[in-house]
Amino acid sequence: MSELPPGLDDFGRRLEQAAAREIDERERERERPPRRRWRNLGLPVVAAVLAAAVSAGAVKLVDGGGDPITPESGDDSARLQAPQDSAVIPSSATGDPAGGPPWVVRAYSNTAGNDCVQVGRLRRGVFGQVQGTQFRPLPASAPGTCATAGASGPLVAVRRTAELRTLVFGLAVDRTPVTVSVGDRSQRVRPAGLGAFVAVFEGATPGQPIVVRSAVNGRTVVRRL
Amino acid sequence: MGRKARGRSVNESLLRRSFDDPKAFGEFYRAYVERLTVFFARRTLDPETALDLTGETFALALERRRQFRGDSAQEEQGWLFAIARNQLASFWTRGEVEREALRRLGCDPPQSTDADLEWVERVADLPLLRSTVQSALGRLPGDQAYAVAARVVDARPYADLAGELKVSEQVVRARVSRGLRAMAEMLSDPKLEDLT
Repeated sequence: MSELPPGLDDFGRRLEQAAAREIDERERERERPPRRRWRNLGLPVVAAVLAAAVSAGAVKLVDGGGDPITPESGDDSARLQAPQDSAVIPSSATGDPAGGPPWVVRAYSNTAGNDCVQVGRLRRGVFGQVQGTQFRPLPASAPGTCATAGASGPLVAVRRTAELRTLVFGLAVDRTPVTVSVGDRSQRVRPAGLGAFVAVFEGATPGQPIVVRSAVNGRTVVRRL
Repeated sequence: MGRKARGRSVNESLLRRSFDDPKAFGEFYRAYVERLTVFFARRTLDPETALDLTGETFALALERRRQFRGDSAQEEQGWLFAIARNQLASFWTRGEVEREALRRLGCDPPQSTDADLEWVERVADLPLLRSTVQSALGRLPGDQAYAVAARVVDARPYADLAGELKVSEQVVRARVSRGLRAMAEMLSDPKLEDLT
C-alpha cells in the first residue's frame, strides 16, 4: 500500500481515538453496578410490578391470607434502605420440590449503590413467604443481602428455610448459566431477567459446602460459601 | 502493509481484535483504506465523494464491528465491502453521502486536502477511467447519452428531465437504465478489466 495522504492519515488516527473512547466507555459501563439495569427499566415498569403486587396483595388480605411478616432484626446482611426501585423478577421463578408457590428473586439497590437481593415465593403476584399453611406477604422493608455484582463475580446469597430448603440465589451479570453445588448435589440454572437466579435444594443442613461457578467476561469465577 | 505478521497469523482478523484494542482498528483501517477509496473512486469518478464515502463506511465499521462474526482477514474484507456497497447504493439513491455514523462518533470525515485528492486520482487511475467512460458515453445513442449525463453526472431529478424532454418519467428511467447497461458492457471489455 502506498503512503497515505495527510487527510486520510489523520482520519485513521481519529478513528483509532474514537475506538479507544468507545472501548473505555464500554469498560466503565461493565464496571457499573447492575442496579442501573433495572433503573433503566423505567418507572412505568417498576410501578406496574408494584401495582400488580399491591393489587394482588389486597385480594389476598381479603382472602384472609395472613399479616405481612415483620422484618427480622439482627440480620447480618446489609440493612435495607428505602428500596424505592425494588422489583420482583417473575422470570426467575423456580419450583419447590414439594410444590406450592415458586421461589423468586426480588432485587433492589440500597442508598450505598449496592445491589441487593431477597428470595421469597410468588403467589398471585405477591412476594412473600409460606409459614405453615399460610402465605404472608414480605414487605419491601424486609432485609436483603447486598453487594456489587460485577467483574469480581455474581452476587450470591444463601438462605436455609424452615421448610428445610437450602436456597442459593443472586444476580449474575453475564447471564450465562450458573452451576450451584450444595454438598454432592449440583444444579445448573440459567439466570433470568436482570441476571437473577435461584437454585432450590432439599434439606437445610448447616455447614455443607456450597460452590457457585459462573462466567464473568468469559472467565469462570468460583465462589465457595 | 497491514497484513504482515507481527507475531500473528496474516489471516487473523484485525476487526475481531479491535473489539477490545483500538490500535487494531487503526491497523484494520490502514489495511483497507486504499482498496476502499479506489472502490468508491472508480464508481463515482469523484475523489471528494470517494473520501466522504470511505469515511462513513469506516465509521459504520467501527460502530458495528461487534456484529462481525468472522475470524479471518477474508471474512472481514467481505464484511467491510458489504457496508461499502450499501453506502454506494444509498449514495446513488439519495444523491448525497450519509454522515450519520460519523456524527454519532463525533468524528469529521477525512479532509479533502489537495494531496488527498491527487492521491485518490492516482491510485484509482481516474484520468484514464474518466476518458474511458467519456468514450463509452460518446458511443451511446444520443437520447440515452443525454439522459445518462443529465441524471448521473448532473444529478437532475427524473421528473425534471421528463418535463424537459416531454416524455414520461418511465421513459427517462428506461433510457438511463439502458444507457448504463450498455456502458457497463463496454467497460467490461477485457482490455479495460484493470480499471473496474
